[in-house]
Amino acid sequence: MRRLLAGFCLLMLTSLPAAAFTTFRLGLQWLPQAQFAGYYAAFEKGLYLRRGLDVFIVHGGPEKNPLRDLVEDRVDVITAFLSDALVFRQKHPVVHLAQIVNRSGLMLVGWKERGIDRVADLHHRRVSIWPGLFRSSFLGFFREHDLFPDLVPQYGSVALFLRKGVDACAAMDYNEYNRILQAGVDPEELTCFPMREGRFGFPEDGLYCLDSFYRENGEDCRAFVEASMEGWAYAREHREEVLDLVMDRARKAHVPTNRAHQRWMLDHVLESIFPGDNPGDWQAGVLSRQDFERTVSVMREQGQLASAPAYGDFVREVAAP
Amino acid sequence: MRWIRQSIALRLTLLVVLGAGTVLAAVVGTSYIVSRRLLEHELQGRATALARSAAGRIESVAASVEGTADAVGGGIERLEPRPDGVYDLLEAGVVRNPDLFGLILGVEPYALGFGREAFAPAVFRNGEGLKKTDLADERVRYRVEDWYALGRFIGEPQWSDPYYGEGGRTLLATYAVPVRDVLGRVRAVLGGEVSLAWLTDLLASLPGPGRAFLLSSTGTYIAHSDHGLIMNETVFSLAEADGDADLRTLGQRMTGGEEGFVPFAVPGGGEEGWLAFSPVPRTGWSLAVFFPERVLFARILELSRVQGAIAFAGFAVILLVALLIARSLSRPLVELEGAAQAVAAGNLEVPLPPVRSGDEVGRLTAAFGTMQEELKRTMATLEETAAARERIESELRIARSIQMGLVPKTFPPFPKRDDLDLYALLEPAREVGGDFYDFFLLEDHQLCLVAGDVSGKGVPAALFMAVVRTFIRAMARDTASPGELMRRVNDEMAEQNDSCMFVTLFFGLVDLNTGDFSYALGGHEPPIMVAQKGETAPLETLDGALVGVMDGVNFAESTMRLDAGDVLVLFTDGVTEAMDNNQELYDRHRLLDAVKSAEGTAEDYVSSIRADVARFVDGAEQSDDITLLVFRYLGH
Repeated sequence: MRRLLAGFCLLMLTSLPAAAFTTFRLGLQWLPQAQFAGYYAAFEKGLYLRRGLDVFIVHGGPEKNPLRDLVEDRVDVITAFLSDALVFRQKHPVVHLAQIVNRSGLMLVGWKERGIDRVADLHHRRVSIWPGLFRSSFLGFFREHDLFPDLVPQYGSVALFLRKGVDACAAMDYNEYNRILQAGVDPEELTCFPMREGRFGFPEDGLYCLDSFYRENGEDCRAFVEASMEGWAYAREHREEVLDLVMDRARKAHVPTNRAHQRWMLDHVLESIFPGDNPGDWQAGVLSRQDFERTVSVMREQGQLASAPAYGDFVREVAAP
Repeated sequence: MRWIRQSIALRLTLLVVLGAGTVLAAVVGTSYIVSRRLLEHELQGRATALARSAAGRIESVAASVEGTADAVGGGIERLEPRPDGVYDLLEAGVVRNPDLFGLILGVEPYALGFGREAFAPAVFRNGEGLKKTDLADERVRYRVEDWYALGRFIGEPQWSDPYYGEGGRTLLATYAVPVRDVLGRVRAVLGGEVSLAWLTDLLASLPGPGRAFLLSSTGTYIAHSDHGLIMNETVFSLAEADGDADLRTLGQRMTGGEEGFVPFAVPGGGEEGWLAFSPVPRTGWSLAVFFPERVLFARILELSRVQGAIAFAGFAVILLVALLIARSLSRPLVELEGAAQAVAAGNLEVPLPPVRSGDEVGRLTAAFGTMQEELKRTMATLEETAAARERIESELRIARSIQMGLVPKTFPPFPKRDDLDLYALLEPAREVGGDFYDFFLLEDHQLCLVAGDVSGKGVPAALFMAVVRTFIRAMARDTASPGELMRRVNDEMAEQNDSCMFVTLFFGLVDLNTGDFSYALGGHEPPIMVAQKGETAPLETLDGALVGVMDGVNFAESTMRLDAGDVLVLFTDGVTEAMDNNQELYDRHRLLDAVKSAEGTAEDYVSSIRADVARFVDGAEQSDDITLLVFRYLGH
């Protein structure tokens, strides 16, 4: 009965004049996982529809680049790391709508067994890090500590680290770190160097669109950000329900994963979105000028950024109060 | 629990049943545990062998693939830089080894003289035939794949963790062999790709009730009857979901290449049983076979159920026997109890249960019978004694009624006369003594006063007293002097006295007109006289024997004149020999004092003296009759 009613409501909604809805194509930068739980929640609970947004979710993957999709008009709004967006901004007019993940989950994980106990122990050791933009964080980190590790590219898996082919590897606290634990490694065997403890932890997932799109759909962008944040708030309050949504999408996309891992990811991502009680904490959804300047400055030092936009030109903080 | 204490039979039965039940339960329980242990022991060997053999089959496939790939890798290292030759080598390898799905050579940029930025020649099975292709054209990402990175950066041949091939349907694993240049640098990686589809069939084909599964070196499920687990869960993710630290430890043992046999519960609160696991050393995998307890122990449970049923039947029999024994023990006791109750209620004739055995109960019954006989005898004796006593009592009653019938009890005795005042008291003791008193008038002015105490007790004494009284009354009419009267009475009594009874006697004669008074004593205490013109003192003691002992005895006589107001107090030894609780006698001195302090009428005298005696004895039992007679001569 409930399903019938919902179907009927949907029919009523879709039969409304087309003008009442704006179609939003949301590009997420990776395969279905709890990193995007808030958007799934907003979608499934009708938070987008309620604001007149007809949202389509388009997933990324190893072979895809949402920023390119944005430019090539395959999506309207994307999630991207701030560093990626800044690089892209040098050629394409993307603007920042909201900073969802403010706390960086980026870290280096080393084997204690291989003598990695302190930062200095990484010197001249074989370390795998992701190629691409995350490098700037790690490279800045190494330079700041005067380290010259033997760097090896790391891709989708931590297999090389688990086989001890490297002494340390890059990891997200919400993802790879847990996958290492789920391969039977105990936390006591590992030493972690979270980038957020220095100045190399950049803000991560943010919402971006093209400037032109924003100019035409400013109100809808605001509504979209609002609904997304509400979705995240819902996910925080209904973790198991939202995990069902995540697991469902992962299964349909044939993504090998398990609920324990997604629960770990959801818990950690939520912690990175919603600030705690510390006075120095960020404001949910907002990219602070300070974090923006810091990211730009580190990336410039690393030569990853030739030019950077002014904060005011780049940031359309539609979620700001 | 009070009811248990109230029945020996119940208590005994309960104890026997408890004991037998414990033994039976112990037997069945021990048998179950021992059987389980035996089975477990047997299973351990069987299961471990099974896991080892299955792991060995996977190991042999891996070895064969490794052999082929190592050979091809070596061939490539020795190969001159001719791309066509590479394809020939790869093809030969795939053809030679049916376990291989394909061989792929991932080459570093511009390495090995191939002169290509990206080059990945590959030969794959394609239906019946083979497909040669440069994957670098289609799949540039070979360098980001695990097998390549492992071979490239570890520098040793490695099995990759299983992964899904293109399309996400087929589970594959790749054996990566680093290919070096003449300087020993890794310049390419040869991957021998194997489809793992056959693993599921292999595991399904294992004999017995066990369910097998396979873990990769990272604990990921590669093969399992629950397909949802494959590639999704690791043994550690299940441990994380369940918060099960033991499972995590077990997973670490398995992925650590150990062999083992452990109790195991299917994660997520599933069934319990045993897990045998054995490593596949070449791939780093772990093959495990789970044996559900439910299936394994079905037969033991059946056995235990049968044993339980037999034990229960045996238990019932023991219960029955215990009840019977307890009843046979307690029935005579119960009957004996009933008999005892009846005896207590006075029925000495109640039959006792027959003595059936010489055991404690039998001896108790016999002893009880003896006691009953003794009781009967005692009761009979008691009855006889009571009858005798009754006879005596009745005799005493008769004697008392005779005694009391003899003495005049009407006071004042001569109401029309004003020249005398007389009052008397006789209080018989419980066993009648022989006291008596008497007084009567002769010819209107002669008053006779008599007090006596017959020896002996009972009816004979009373009758003797009656005879004495009769003689005195009869002889007083024609005998003028008391001494003469005493002599005659004594002679009469002594003559017929076969029973040797006697009496102490006082006889006094008062002429009421003149106040002349004469008296005689026959072994009797002299009365006390309260004289108006003299002191208060006992009368003079006169010669005179006990009356009735022997005849021919003379009795002295004394004569005096009474004045008006003089008082005579007659008494018997029951007064002077009244005893208090310390066996002290009242004696004549106390009596004399009591008489001196008395005054008033004769009755006042009697009351006063009697009260003094009562005060003295202070409740002690009266041992002899108490007789008091007080005469006041009032004159004219």
